[in-house]
Parts: sequence; C-alpha cells; structure tokens
Amino acid sequence: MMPLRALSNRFSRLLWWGPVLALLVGGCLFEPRDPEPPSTGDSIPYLPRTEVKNVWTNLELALRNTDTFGWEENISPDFTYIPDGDTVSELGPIFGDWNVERERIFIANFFDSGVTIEAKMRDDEFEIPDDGGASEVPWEGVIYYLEVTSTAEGSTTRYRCSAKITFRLEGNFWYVYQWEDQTRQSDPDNVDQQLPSMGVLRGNFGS
Amino acid sequence: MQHPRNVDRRSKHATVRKWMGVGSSLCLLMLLVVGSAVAQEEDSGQEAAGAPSLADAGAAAQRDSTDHEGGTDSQQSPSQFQNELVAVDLPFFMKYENEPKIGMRANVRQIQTYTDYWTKLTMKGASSLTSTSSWSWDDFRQQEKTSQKRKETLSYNTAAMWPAVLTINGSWDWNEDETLNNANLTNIAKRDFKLLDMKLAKTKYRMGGFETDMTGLAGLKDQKSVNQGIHNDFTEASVGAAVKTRYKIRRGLSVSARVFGRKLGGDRSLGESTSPSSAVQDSIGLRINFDRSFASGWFEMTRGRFEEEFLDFNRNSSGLIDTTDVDDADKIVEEMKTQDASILEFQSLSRRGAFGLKAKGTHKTSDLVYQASGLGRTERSDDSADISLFRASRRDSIAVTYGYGWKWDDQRIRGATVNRGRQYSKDRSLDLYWNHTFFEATETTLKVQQSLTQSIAQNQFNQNDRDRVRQDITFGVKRQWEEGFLADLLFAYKSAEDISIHKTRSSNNNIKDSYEIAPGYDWDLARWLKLKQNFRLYIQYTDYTFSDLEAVNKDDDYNKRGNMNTRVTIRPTRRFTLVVKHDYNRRFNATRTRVDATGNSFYRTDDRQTTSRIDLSAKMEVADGITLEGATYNRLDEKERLGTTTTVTDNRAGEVWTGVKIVRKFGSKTNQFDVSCLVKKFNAYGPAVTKTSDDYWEADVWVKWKF
Repeated sequence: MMPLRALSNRFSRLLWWGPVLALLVGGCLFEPRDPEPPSTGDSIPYLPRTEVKNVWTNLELALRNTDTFGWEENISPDFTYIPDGDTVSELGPIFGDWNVERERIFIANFFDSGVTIEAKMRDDEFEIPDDGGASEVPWEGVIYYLEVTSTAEGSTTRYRCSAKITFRLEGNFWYVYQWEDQTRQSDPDNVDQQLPSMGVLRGNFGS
Repeated sequence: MQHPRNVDRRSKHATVRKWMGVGSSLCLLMLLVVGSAVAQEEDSGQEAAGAPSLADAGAAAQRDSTDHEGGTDSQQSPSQFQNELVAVDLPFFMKYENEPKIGMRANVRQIQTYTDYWTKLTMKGASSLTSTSSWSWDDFRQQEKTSQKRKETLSYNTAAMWPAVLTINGSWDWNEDETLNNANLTNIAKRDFKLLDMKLAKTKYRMGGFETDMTGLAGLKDQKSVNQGIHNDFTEASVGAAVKTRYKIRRGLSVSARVFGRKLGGDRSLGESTSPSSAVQDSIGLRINFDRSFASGWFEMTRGRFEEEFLDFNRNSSGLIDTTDVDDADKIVEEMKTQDASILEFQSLSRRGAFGLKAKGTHKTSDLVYQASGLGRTERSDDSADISLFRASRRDSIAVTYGYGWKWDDQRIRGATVNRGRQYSKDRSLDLYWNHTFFEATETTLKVQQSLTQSIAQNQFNQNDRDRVRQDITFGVKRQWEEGFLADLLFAYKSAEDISIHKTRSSNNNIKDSYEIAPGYDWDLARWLKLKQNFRLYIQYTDYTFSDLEAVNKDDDYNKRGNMNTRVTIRPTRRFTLVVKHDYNRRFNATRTRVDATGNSFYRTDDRQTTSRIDLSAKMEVADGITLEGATYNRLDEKERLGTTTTVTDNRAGEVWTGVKIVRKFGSKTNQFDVSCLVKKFNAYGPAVTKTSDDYWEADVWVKWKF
C-alpha cells in the first residue's frame, strides 16, 4: 500500500497541474456555438456608454428589440431596484434584495416570453441633467412608457411611471446603478386611469 | 363567471363549514401534540422517580460530570433539576421592561417622524411576552407622497415552562399611502392586515430508537385593502402539522423522514367579486446521512404538492394582468393553481489530510397548472452539480471547482393544443483559486475563471438564442513591510463574448477584452500621519464580430482610463482628525479606423476627459459624546470632444456640509435615558445637482428611555 506521504505528494503535483488542466479542458468545454451571419445588416444602433443619456437610450433600444445582452450591458453590477408603493401593495414584499442577478433573470424571462415591446423611456418634457464631472448622476422624475404585446394571443398591456434613475460611472462607462419607481402615471388616452409601473413586470418575470 | 350575489350566498355557507372544520381540526391537533408531550412528561417523571431527590441534585450533577463524559441519556439532566429547584422559589412574573422611543429622521429622500414602544414581560421558566407598538409618518421630498404606518406586534412563548413549547405571534399592520401623479390624480393605497400564528412544538421525543420532532401550526389572516380603487380583502384560517423522525441505523449512518401538511380556508374579495378560497399543501421527504471515515454527507428526496383556489385578475399567457377590452364580468376570475414538485439532492465531503473533495448535485422538477389564467401549464426541470477539489494549508492553498447547470421549462398556453417548446439554459464554469506565500509577509493570489452560459429555445422563440463566454484572470501580490508600509499590486484580464445565434440579432455580437493594472500602498509615516495612494490603469477593447461586413454599422473601439487616488489622514490630537483626498482621472475613447497589412490597428481619438477632485473633511470631538463634523469637495471636469470641430467644456461642482453628533446616556442600567442627535446641513452646486439635493438637512434624532 502506498504511504500516505507519497499519495499526498502525487495529489499535490496533480493540483499544481490544475491551472494548466483548467485552461486545456476549458478550451474544449467552453466552446460557444457559431452564430448565423447577420441577415439584414441592421444592427441595433446602441450608443457608446460614455454619456449618461446614451445609457437610457440603449435601454429603450434593448426593449424595442427584446435584446437581453443590450439591457444587461447597461446595468451596473451593483444595481438595485426600488418599487413604487402601489406595486408593493399589490405584489407584497418580494423586491427586498433586488440586485443585478434578479434583474438579469427578469429581463431574460421577460424577453423570452414571446412579446413585442414599444417603449419610450422619457417624456418630451424631461430635461436631461448635465453629467460632466460627476461620478453619479440622478435623473429625477423621468417618465417612461411601455406597451407590451403578447405574440401568442395579441393582447397588450401598458406601463407608465415616473422614476428616479441614478447613473454611475464605473471604469470607463456609465451604467444604471439604481432604479426607483416613484409614482404611477396616468394613461395618456385616459388621465383618470393610472397605469402600473415596470415593478409589475419585474415581479411577474423576476420572482 | 357567476353573479357576485350568488357567489356571496354560497360563500357564506362554505365559510361557516370551513371555519367549523378548521376549528375542530385545530383543537384536535393541539390536543394531540399536548397529549404526546404530556405522555412523555409522565414517562420522564417515572424515570425521575428513580433518580436522586431534588435536594441531592447538586451532588448528582457533580457525580455525573465526573463519571460520564458524554452526559446522560435520561430525559432530564441534573442541571435541569437545578433549574427547576431555583424556579420553584421564584415568582411567576419575574421581570417587566419598557422602552419608549421617539425620533425623527431626514435625508435627501424623505422626512420621517416615528415612535416606538417596546415591552417585555419575563416569566417563570424563561417564558416571555413581548410587544411592540410603532407609528411613523413619512413625507417624501422627491415625489408627491405621504405615508402613515402603524404596527402592533405581540409575541409569547412558553420556553421551558411546559413540556412542549408554545409560541404565539400576533401582528396588526396598518398603512395609508397617498400619492399624487403628474396629472393631479390622487391614489390612496390602504391596508389593514392582522395576523395570528400559533406553533406548538415538541422536539427530540425519543421512542424505540426513533428521535422525533412534532410541530402543530395554526394561523389566522385578515386583510382589508384598497389600491387604485380596487378592494382586495380576505379572511383565512390555516391549520397544519409537521413530523420529523430520525433513526440511527449504525454509527455514522442515519435515516430521517419528514411529513408536512397544511390546509387553509376562508373568503376572498377582489373588486366586486367574493368567493371562498382554499389551499392544501403537503410534502414528504426522506434523507440518508452518512459520516464515515472516507466521506460525510447526505442524500435527500422530497416531494410536494400545492393546490390553491382563489380570486385573481384575468391574466394573459405571460402572466400579466390583462383587463383591456375584457367585459367587467370577466376581469376577475376564479383561479385554481396546482403545483407538483420533486427534489433529489446529494452532498458529500471527503478529506485526506490537507486535501479534500466536495461534491454537490441537485435534480428538481415541477409542474405548475393554472386553470383560468392564460399561463396554462408550465413544466420545469433543473439539474445542477458542483465538484470541488482542494488543498488547504497555511502557506499554500489551491481549489479547482467545476460547476454545471442544465434547466429547461416548457409552457402550454391555455387553450393551445401543443406546447410552446422547451427553453433551455445551460451553464458551465471552471474556477481555480490559488493562494501562496512565497516569502514571509508576502501573499500571492491567483484566480482563474472560465464560464459558458447558453440559452437555447425550441420553435419560433429561438431568435433569443444566445451564448455568453467569460474568462477572468486576476493576479494579486500583497506585502506587509516593517515600519507600517503595505504594498499591493493587482493585474486582471477579462474577456467577455456575447453571441446572439440567430441571424436577426447577430450583427451586434462582440468580444470585450479588458486589462487592468493597479499598484498601491498604505504608509503610516508617523502615529499622527497616514498616506494611502493607488494608481489604476484600465483599458477595454471592443471588437464586433461582424464589423468587417459592409452592411454592419459597427466600429471596433477602445477605452482607456487612468486614476490616481491619494489620501492623507492627519490626527494631531486624539480629538481631532483631518482627511485630505485627491482623485485624478484621465480618460480616452477611440475608434478603430483601419488595420494595416501586418495586422496593426489604428485608432482615432474621439474624446478626452480629465477630472480632478479634492475632498477635505474634519472631525472634532469637543466634549465627551459631542462631535463636530464638516466636509467639502471641489471638482473640475474638462471634456474635449475631437472631430471636425473640437469642443471643450469645463464644469465645476462642489458640496459643503457641516454637522454635529451628540450621544449621551443618563441614569443607571435599569433606568436609563439615551439621547442621540445627528444633524447635518448640505449645500451643493454643479451640473448633476437637482432641486431636492442642492440644499437639504440630514438628521437622525431620537430619545429613548429604558426602565
């Protein structure tokens, strides 16, 4: 029987080869699929995230094109979401630890659910604050509007809410760091009818 | 959909029947648990009769502690006898504590006024009755919103007073939020929620080699709420029981089984409709534990079912509330939801000296069915496994972990004849962690991670098919020199490749490679002077996979950023601290214009940005418990946009705040008066400063009396 020390040395050597093995095996196991070449050449015109307003525009583009990568790329690794009070009243305390992981689950489930989306992420009256020199920029009172149509049955649901969005500069780029839904806004076609916020979508697809 | 009046009448009869059923079940369950607990108490009493008298308990305890290292198998240990001996002489009510508190908080977001009143009555056998009453009023500064909340809680537990532990928790939550939107439309959301939960538990009941935990549960919930003009009320009672038993087959091998069941019944009102509601939940589990010389771990199987009938809004196939163009009578439906789930889990750990192997595996399946909602039926499967090989020692530790995940879901939309198609998610990851001490006080760390995440859908939804490949390599060295000098160096390489498979999305595919180098040091120059400095250079290249195609409007680019952060801490006296910080950032963004025949890339600089910020903060403790604080910063931002016409913009921003903090305590430990006061005044200017953040107070002031 092999002495324990000798066995230990062999095991140790095996572990020293770990990094090499990891890289070699990694090359085989982690091979992605080959993508199809673009059909039309109309790529989604994302803007460089070197300016705050571009990040918000990118989210609108990601929604319109139901592009998961496009949404995730503009969300900070330290992202948090705070729902509006009415959404909490309806859905209960399910948003307590909403972080980037839950946001990724939400957006992947939402976009994969077979929907088409029309989005306008800020109303015409909103004045964009200057982001020069700041490492964190809040947008207070930005009103977004979404129309979500189910491709399976053609039904449409709508969402409109004012939000406080905090953008943060991380490394070279701006990201959405905190999204706080504040007040549900009225249906543009019927001011007496308040529409839900995206908190309802997050609660539905991310919980 | 039935007429609400008919539903109402039927629901009343059903409610009476259910309440009677729930009440009788509850009584039966309580009797059962108390009965078994009392039976065990009698058994213990018989055992105790043969034991030494209470007066000799002290001597018995001493004898036991010397004779038996592993303790005693009898139901009541000598120390418990001692406790009872002491408890006999003590009054039933032992201690009554009160703690009223009143305070105010203010910050950039909201102003809150609140009161709390906490009481605790400690009784014989460590049983206690705790209650809290709280009230708060919030006025939100950045939106037209006010919120008032009240909460009462009551908690009682018998602890060691009875053979079984009875815990009763009650709460009453009330809140009213009023919001005004941009169209001057007010919404009042009100909720009045009462909850009563009872739990009777007897743990470690031993019989014939079996060790059993038994729990009886009962609860009552009552809610009256209105939001957006829609009422959502319910009154429901529940009763449940859980039994868990364990049997030791032999040394290092045991098996445990558990059963849980719960039934709920009551009434629900949603909008104008009222209907009986019910839920039945049960689960059964079996677990085998092993702890042998070669390995320790467990294997577990669980199966559960949940069935619920309730009123709900009409929902579409995505689960979203859809009442547009729906008749009023069909906006609210009587929903029935059923879910079956099963879980298989395995976990083990093997160790040989400094080496170890850890393995974990899970297989989960579930089947969720909605009768009325468009969601229909969803089947899910989720498999995952992790294997980790490691060696741990003081100077040299290494771990290699392979993670694997495979899950899918498949939906049959209500009314459809075929399934939507499976949506798969496959994850693989390989992690290497290595920590080594080459020289004394020098620590080296290497982390390598590679992962692949794939989302694959069947049928027409596969336009969202995507793969994501990640590679991270981080290398760090840290050395603690003498004379308080700590130096560190970090090098990181990250590569992220996002691949949309379908031709309608693939034009945006790209690979991002980033490099980071960050040296730094902490230097204690003197007892009163500390210096810390970090430099960080970060470069990211983005290469679009199909940018060579003429029709793809994407240009490869790179971004470079350099940061230099300096911090000086001066503490000339014990009471005074001064901190000076300087952050200097420089950033370039560039676009690739061409690649020459030898493969060299040429970039065009698009913009440059330089930011310089100085922070100064001071803290002075003027007397015991009283601290004066203040801070200010100034920032200059220069942005240069290069192009056919070059534009240069300068921005200045700054903030100043001053504050005081007072923390004082008066009186004795049993009759104490606490005062805490933190007040700060903020003034800010600059492009990113909003109306609500240019001039505001931040405060946290409270007084508390404990008696």
